[in-house]
Formats: sequence, structure tokens, C-alpha cells
Amino acid sequence: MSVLIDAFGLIADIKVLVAILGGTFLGLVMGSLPGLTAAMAIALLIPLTFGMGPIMGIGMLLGAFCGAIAGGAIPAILLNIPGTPSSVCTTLDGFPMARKGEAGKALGVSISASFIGGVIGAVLLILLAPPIAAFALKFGPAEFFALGVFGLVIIASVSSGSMLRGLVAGLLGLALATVGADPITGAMRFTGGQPALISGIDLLPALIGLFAVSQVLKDVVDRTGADSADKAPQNFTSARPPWGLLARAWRVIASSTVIGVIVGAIPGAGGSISSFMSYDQARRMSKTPEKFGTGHPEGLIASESSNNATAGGALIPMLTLGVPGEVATAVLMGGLTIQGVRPGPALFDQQAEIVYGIFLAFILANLAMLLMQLLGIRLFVRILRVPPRMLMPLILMFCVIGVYGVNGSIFELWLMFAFGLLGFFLNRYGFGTAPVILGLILGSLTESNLRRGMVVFDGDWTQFLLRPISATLLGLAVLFLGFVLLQQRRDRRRDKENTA
Amino acid sequence: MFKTTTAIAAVALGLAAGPLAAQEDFPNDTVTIIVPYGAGGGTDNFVRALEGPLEEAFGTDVAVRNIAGGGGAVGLTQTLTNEPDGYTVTIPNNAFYTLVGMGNVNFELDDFDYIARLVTEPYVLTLGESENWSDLESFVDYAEEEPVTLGFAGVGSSSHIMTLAIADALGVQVQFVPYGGGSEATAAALGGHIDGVVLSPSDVVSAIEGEGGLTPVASTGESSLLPDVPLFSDGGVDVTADQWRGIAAPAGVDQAVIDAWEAALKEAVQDESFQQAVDNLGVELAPLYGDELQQFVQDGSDLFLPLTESVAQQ
Repeated sequence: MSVLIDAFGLIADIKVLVAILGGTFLGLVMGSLPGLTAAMAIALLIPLTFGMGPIMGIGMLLGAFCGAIAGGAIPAILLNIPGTPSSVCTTLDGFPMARKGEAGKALGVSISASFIGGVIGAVLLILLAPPIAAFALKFGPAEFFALGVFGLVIIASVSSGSMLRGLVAGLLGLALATVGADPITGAMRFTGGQPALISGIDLLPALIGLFAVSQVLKDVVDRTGADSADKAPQNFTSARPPWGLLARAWRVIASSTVIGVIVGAIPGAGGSISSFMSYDQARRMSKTPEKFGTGHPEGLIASESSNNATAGGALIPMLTLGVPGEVATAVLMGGLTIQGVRPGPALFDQQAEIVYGIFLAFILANLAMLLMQLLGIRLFVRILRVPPRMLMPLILMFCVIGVYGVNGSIFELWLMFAFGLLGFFLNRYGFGTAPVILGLILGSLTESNLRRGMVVFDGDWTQFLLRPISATLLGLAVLFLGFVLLQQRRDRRRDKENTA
Repeated sequence: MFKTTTAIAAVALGLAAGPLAAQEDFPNDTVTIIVPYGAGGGTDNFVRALEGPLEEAFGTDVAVRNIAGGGGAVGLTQTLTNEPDGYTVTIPNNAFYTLVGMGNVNFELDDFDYIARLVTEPYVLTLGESENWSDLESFVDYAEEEPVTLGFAGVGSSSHIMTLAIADALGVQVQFVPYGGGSEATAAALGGHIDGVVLSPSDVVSAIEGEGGLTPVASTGESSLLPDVPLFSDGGVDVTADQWRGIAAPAGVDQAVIDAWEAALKEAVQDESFQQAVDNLGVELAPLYGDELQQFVQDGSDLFLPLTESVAQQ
């Protein structure tokens, strides 16, 4: 208990509070700009923390982490452009809501779901970190492979309209994931001598191209000349946190935050998968699955509560084991290390007040994120009043800055534009872009772990089927796939009967 | 006559002083350090810590640019498109040898002028908990009979090559398991999915704490993070290569500019906040310049190149 009081003493300092607020604000801004991810927001702030005391610097970086993940939802809802990879699923229902004139409501739902997800994530982090970390360590090659296969089934959920087209787009993503050095032998595949492709297609230019650039292209084609805004009038009175709606969706929140925390805690799984998995699970639990993808608040709640819970989850292996859960926490850990705070089991023993200070700062950052965003909703929605002929060039500019700013590579700008064209045509012919991103993320996870497993198990592929976690995940994948196919057949039969 | 001589001497001096002056007042413009990795990584944090003290020593701005991709290949290739005037430099390390050895880049090692080595860190053989071993000796006894799995950070990375070198030197049977990065490999060893890892001390130091943690059994060099870990050379095993970070520029830099760099770096590494950062990052301050540095680069190339080429041919 005295440790907690010491931690309160560390936090209750006006400079620390200002650092948390400032970090959260900058995180929100960067997260809402396409191209600047949570990892980038933290990396940009690290040099600023050099002169600060440990807890002040850590508070600022944690604020940036929370803010960036939550901020990614704003452009996802208003413009159909995910600000960070973890807000891809937010576009699926958030943008249709905005189109229906419910932008304020969608932002209110997303912001409060983010907050609840973040706080539940923090509570699970404080109470259950050691057992969750122990579970996360059980993931070896077989389990990662099974997780990847399980994730591929989600493609059926996120393909709007025709499942066949969704699968084609997913396969395209899988094919693109094979570009780069072979993960086991190092042989070059489809790199064409381009050094930027050695480590594979970077997720960021692909994401920005498929979602943002394609959206700009669509807008240009849709309104050649005439600037006729045919949008539904926005209803601003609903821009309050809809606590009642959230309370009714408690089952969605519960499953999404648990998925978010656990997937976030598995080192190497990657945080962006969790929102896809939660979305898929919410759709499966729903009594009205057909509403998903058309502007259904439950889809938005699933995605946003999950990706913010992932932040708490990703801190678990970092704090308990000294192993970061994904990219953003890896950068965060670098920032802590240079402050002289080395996360790991010894930190709990030697500087417990710092660990509890991190917990408190994390919760405070979530609170700051909630308040700032609620105050900002009316401001955010104004983006929709900016005429597209001014907004679209601005978006394109931020895309270029974002992609070039991260890796400083001109080639990746061209890659971004190529993905923009690809995304434009995929959307135009109803294939969708979310399955491509899912294929790209899961392709390398699945392949490298299949290959790694064949090395570790000495060629014995039955290990993939016999290990308990792996077998469970693969079994669920088969079950859900069967369920989806059955439902499709039933739907088709019903359609036939109706037309007959 | 006397006047003519003075005039000629003056002209000669002037001619000589022209280019000399340009080099002597190096740097009179912003110096750019290209970090060939992403922002927020180990190399980036090291360079950000050096930035301030170096600005003070040079009396000019120092800009840090991250050009990431291809495990360093993009940034290094980009560095070589700049003039060899000392205003654009990058951070050399063992990846120079492995990128060249894997045939992933179209430059050679002598396309760069190596100006300094600043910090080093060893590679540590770190093992998971097992009843079959408790130290290097018992591990070698076991692994001579039964193959073991060792993880490292990426195929063709310097930790991969060092795993090969260590397996060779110990004469043990190893299945080589590449991971996406050091933290993934460490997590796999903690979870018991592989028998051990060959990584830097900073990658494994947290994982050796706590119950069921990893055990570092031998290191290629001294480490302030792991002071009690024996060296391979203590047990008569000849593996001594360290990972390093320094300063390199496109080849053809004038000696006067290199001297200016050396002088500035010698001053910058004395800076207290830099030394604190180096300590926090868990690397060893080990500056090396001039002929000794050239010998060090040559030794690294002699060790890493043939082994990397053997991996690339598989």
C-alpha cells in the first residue's frame, strides 16, 4: 500500500501532470494524422524526455501511446481513413455512420468505447499481469501459426458484400506478404533489387495507399468538376458519450477487451490483429450480424474498446518480462531504458513505485484522452464542412509527409501511390481493402511461424495439430468457417425461394 | 628581387591556404547523421544522445535523419549518394559486413571511410532453464550428443553469424532458428520453445531476472550489464567479436575533415549526459580511431564475410 502512496507522490506533481496531458494531446494529433502511428508518436517524443525526470518522461510517452491509438479513430470515422493500423476496423462501421449523418454519435461511441477499453486494459494490467504474461509465453511457432490461420477466417467477416471477392482480396494480401527476404533462408523473393523491399512490404505505405490515397482518388473521380456535397445533415446534439448504449453492449465490450489485452500481451502477434478478432467475435455474438458494416455501433465499440485494451495488454510482457508486446511498446521500452528505467522483473522488486507510477500515469492518460476528445468532438466534425476540393489535397499532403517521415524512403512513396491505385480499383469493383491489409499482416506471421516450426520440430508437422492451444485455435477456425459457409448456403436458398 | 620572392611566396601560401581553409573551418554548415534504422530503436536512441554533445563540440547544428528499411540497406545506400565531404555520415556496425556478405546491397566495405568506433557490446549465449545444463561446459557436453535450437534476431543478421561462429567454435550441433527481432527470440526462449539465444546483453538482461528466467552462460566480451558472465575466451574458446557503433562517411573524405571529426568526437564522448545515456543503454564506451580502427574493421570483415557468404549460398 505504501508503494501506491509513493507512486501517488510521484504523479501528483504539476510538471508530471502537464507532461501526461501534453503527451496525450500530441499523441491524439499524431494518431489522427494518417501515416503517424503510435510507435512514431512515441519515437518523436523520446528526445524531448532527455532532460526530464523518469516518471515525467514516462508519463509523456504513455500519454502519447494512449492518445495515438485513440486518435486514429477520428479520421477513420469522418473520412474512412484509419489514422493508425489498429483503427482499420473502425472504418467498417464508423464511416457508414458518419455518412448517415451520425458522425457526432459515432465519435461519441468510439471515444467512450476507447476509454472503457483503455481503463479495463489498465485494470487487467495491474491485477493480472503475471498470469497473462505466463499465458502469452506459451505462444511458440505452432501457436502463432494457428493464430494466423484463425485470423484468416476473419476475412469472411470483414468482406463487405460478396465473400468470394473478399477472399480474392485476402489472397492478394497473402501474396504480397511473400515479398522480401525469405524468413528462414534469407533468399530474396520478388524484390527486384530494391533494398527497401528486403524486409518485405512495409505495412504503413500499404495501409495509407489502400485507405487514404484510394479515398482521395475516389473523391476526384466521383466529383469531376461539380462540388455538390450530397451528405446527410449532421446531427450534433448526439455528440455525447452514449453510456446507455455502451451499457447494453457490455458483452461486446467484455469480449473485445479480453481479446485486446491477451493478443496485445503476446509478443510478436502485433496489436492490429486484436481489433479484427474482436470485430469478428462481436459479429458472431450479435443477433443482427447483417447490420455489421452498414454503420452498426456495436462494430465500432468492438474495434475501439479492443485496440485501446491492446495498449494495456502490450505493457504486460514489457513490465513483467522486459519483452515488448509490439512495435509501439518496443519504442516505449527504448525510451524508458534511456531514462535509466529498465523494465523487467527486477523493476518490480527494486523500484516498485515507478511501476505503480506507470500504472497511474496510464490511467490518467486514458482520462485525459477521454476529456480532450469529448471537448473536441464539435471541432473534429467541422472537418466534414471543409469542401472536399480543399480537404482532399490536404489529406494527400499528410499521407506523403507521414509515409516519407517514418522511413525517409522515396521508394515507399511510390509504393504508397501504387497501393492507392490498387485500393481504388478494389473498392470500385467491390473487393474491399480491409482483407488485403489482413492478408498482408497475417501472411508473414503465418508463413514465418510455419517455417520456424518445421525447423524447431525437426520436420514433424503433427506438432502443429497436437499442441493444445494450437489445436484449439485451428479447431475454432474450422468450426467458424463451416458456420459461415452454412449460413451463406442458407441465405442463398432463402434468396432463391423469395425470388421464385 | 626580395619583393618578387615575397609575392610568389604569398601567392603560393594563398593557393595552399584556399582549400586548406575550407577544410580547417569544417564544419561551417549542418552536419547530417543518417540512421539506417527507424526512430526509437537502439541505434537511433544512441545517436540522439550523441547529437547534443556533438553540436557543442562542432559549434554547428547536427541533424539526425532516419532512413529505415531492408535491415539498414536503404539508409546506407542513400548515404553513399552524398559527397564525401564529411557533412553526411552514417552509423557503421556489423550489419555492414553481413549486408555485403548476403549480397543484399551493391556497395563494398571500402566504399566507406571509417572515422570512429564509439561504443561496443558483446554477444551473449543465453540459455533457457533445463535439467540438462547449468553452464557452458554442461551445455556443450549435452549439445555434442543432441542437437539444440538457438534463436537470434533475423536471418543473415550479425547475431545469426555469431550463432554460427559460436556453434562452430564449441563443436556442438545446432538448429538455427531466425526470429523477427531480439525481443521475439527472447520471448521464445523464455517460453521454452527454443533452447537459447545469441543476442546483445541489452536484449536479454531483463529476461534473466525472476523465476524461470534465462541464464547467460558465456559472452564474446566484457559487459557492464552482465558483469559476472564468463567470457568464451576464459574457457579457451576463441570467439571475441563485438557488436559496435561508430561514424562512417562515403569514401574519399579529406584527412583534415577526418581529424576535425576525431577531435569533435573525442570531446563529445567526455560529455556527462552522453556517458549516462551510454550507461543506460547498456553498451560500453570504447572509442577507437585511425589505424587501430582500420585494423578493427578489417578483423570484423575477415570474421563475418566468409561466414555470411556461406549462409547466403544455402
